[in-house]
Amino acid sequence: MTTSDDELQSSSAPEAALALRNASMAFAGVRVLDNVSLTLAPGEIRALVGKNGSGKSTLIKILSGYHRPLPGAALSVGGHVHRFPVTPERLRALGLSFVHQDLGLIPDATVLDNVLVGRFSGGKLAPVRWRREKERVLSILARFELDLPLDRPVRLLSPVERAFVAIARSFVDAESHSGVLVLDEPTAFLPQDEVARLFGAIRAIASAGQAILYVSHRLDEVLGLAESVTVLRDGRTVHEGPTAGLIEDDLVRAILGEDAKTFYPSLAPAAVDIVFEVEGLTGQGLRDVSLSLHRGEILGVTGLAGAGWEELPYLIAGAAAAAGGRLRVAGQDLAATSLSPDKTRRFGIALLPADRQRASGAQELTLRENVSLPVLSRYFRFGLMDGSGERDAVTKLLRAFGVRPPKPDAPLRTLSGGNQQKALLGKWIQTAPKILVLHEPTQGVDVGSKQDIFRKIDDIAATGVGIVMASAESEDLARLCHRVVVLHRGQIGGVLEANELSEDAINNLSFSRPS
Amino acid sequence: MTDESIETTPVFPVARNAWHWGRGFLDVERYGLVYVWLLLIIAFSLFVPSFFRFRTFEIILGSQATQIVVTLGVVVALIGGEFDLSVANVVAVAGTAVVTLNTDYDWPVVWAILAVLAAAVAFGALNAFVTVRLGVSSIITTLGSGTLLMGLLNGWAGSAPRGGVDATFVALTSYEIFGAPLAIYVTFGIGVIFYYILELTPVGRGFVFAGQNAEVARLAGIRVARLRAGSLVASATLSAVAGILLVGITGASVPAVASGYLLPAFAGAFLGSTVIQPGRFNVVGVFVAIYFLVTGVTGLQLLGYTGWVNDVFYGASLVVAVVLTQLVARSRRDQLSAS
Repeated sequence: MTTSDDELQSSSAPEAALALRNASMAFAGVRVLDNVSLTLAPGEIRALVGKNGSGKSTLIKILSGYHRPLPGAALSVGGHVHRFPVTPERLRALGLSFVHQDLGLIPDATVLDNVLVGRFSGGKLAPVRWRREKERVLSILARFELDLPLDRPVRLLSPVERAFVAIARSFVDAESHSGVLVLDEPTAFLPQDEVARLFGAIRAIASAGQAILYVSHRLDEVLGLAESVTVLRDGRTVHEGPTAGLIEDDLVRAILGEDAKTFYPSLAPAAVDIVFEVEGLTGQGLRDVSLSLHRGEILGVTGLAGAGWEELPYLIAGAAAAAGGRLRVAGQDLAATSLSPDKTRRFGIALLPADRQRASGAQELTLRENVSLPVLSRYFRFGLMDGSGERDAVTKLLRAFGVRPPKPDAPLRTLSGGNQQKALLGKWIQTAPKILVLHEPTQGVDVGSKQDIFRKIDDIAATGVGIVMASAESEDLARLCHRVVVLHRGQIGGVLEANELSEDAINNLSFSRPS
Repeated sequence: MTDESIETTPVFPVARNAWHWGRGFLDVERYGLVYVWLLLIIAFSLFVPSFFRFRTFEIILGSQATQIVVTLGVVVALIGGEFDLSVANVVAVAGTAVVTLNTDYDWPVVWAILAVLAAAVAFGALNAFVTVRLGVSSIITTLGSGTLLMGLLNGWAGSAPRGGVDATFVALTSYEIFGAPLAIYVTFGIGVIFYYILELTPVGRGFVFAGQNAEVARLAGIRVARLRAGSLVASATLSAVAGILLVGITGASVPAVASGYLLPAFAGAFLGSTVIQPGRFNVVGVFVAIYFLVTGVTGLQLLGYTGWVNDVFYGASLVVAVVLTQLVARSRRDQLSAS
């Protein structure tokens, strides 16, 4: 079905910021996108949601010029019609700018350089007017009420600040053309209080005439920020309309095609005996933190950014240096200062870090190499590594954890965030830990995989494994945990028992002072 | 994101297995250099009159003991993420030290060899301490330590060529079995040992992983610092072994020649990383790469080109090999990222 230029121009709103018509895409004979159309008005904030495999990423790649859709598709940006294929440079020039999940920053370059790379005003060989450029960037940052040191190399910034730099860079483009800004999971690494600031700026940009396409797995954000939402499932648009009046369960149902009531697993009660205790833990911003974990208990740990809950998992697992305190596990009484990852592993503590790029997964290595790493000696028989035995075991594990595709020789980076995380969770669960420490286990993970991961966490807790889950997602913690510890400025602010647990209670405790 | 690809395979299971096995060897990305090498041999055999002779192949096969062992040392360090630039200096110093101890100080050659090996371990440990403990980049550390070592050698034993080492030792090292000296069999043995350690033991696998992503390895309980240190000790020790083999084969130590082993070692390491396990430094790749390079140089020399031809061939091979690997990897990546 072909759409003529005239048809496109007349059928879209007079100044539609973006109109994509009849986009379809197929790989190896499988249709991943089936006649999807998307129209954005200037100043509209549209959310795009869908689980892994829904066609959402393909759609974004078509918009960014990375993929060429099947014949019959047409694109108009700001009223100008374009035939495919379109190059990414051309799309940028037309006013379509992107902030992708991997941010695309240069770690050793400064904030200023990262924001303005390729976009310095003046000719190519003209000397850079540093003062003017600095003011330019400062005015953009002022919109976020952000104080970033322009001369600091980006690699020294926290994930939060790095995200802001990437977004500031995209807004540099947005300023010079009014067009469309596509944000792909920009809040994946941002804590709650930062998200509000980002949203304020996005709303300001939208009211200046920019259309915003906001891709996210976080449904509460979607409902809070966007005025309209498009839901994709199996390559088709299954829902499109205003967000007013929608609740999260509606979105989950549209995304998964099933009822949201089954989303969170039901909790099995925890046992009474204590499997793990810390006393007086100090270091990395924490001061004198004590807590205990029961067998089969899921203990949540949270707080505001900088409260210390993000460092706690690494201290417990011996991955970061502690200054003081004691750890009691497996009948041993250990000094926190004496811990190291190999030592805590011996006592049955397993850690799944949040950062899949740097700490929990080697992206360039295969699934097999990543997943077998902690248990290599299992395949070492008669002085030789049992290659096929290892491959079989890994394939079985990948299937058991719902990793798709379950191919041991695929590099980790070829899988989606959700599948990567499931594989890495399997990597640690196969070591039969007594205590599993999780740091943001569903960060950057799609709704379907999130559900799978929660089920798995609940399953192993039911077998008696104690779980410490450090996360900023108050709602997940409220529904998944037996107890939640809230940290405040490096100390325990309060503990919520099962009967007191709710998202609001957690948030309140995070913000209030310790009693 | 990936799609589960739809594979087209023959209907019968037996045929399918054979198909995959056979196709395995056609994998250009993995075995490309091997094919180029074979083509080179065929081309030389056709066009160079004195090439296709048993003796030529014997010489090619048997002459590279020192170079291969040095390259293995470089590769072990590279796998762990370190550049050991002192290898050639260790070759020179080890050889000269053995000769000096044996002739000037009348040490029995076996004791001289053991002492030199022990010193090499200590030297490697020094490199390891500065690099791993003190955190200085290995390029700088080994550049400095290698130069220092060479200076000390010149001070102690002078830089002149020295002969007169124990004749039995020389005879043993050069003893020909099937036309190749014992030294090359020792080299094959070393290759097998390191292949075994790196590919077929948990320690080796953990080490390879640590070289790719130290933080993930550390959090999985692998003692990364220890492995990095060990790799630098290994590269120093292997270089000493190479130097000792060189003395055995030639009967003398010529310090000036030793420096010529450095660049081909890195060329061999990088060229070797384009084959068998593309993108990773690997033991078998080292053998393939060095033999490929020597075949080329030998053929060209038989044609009458000498001296400068070595550098041109090494350089050109490396560039072409790396470019081809990039092209193949890129097309593979494009296929995979279709989602």
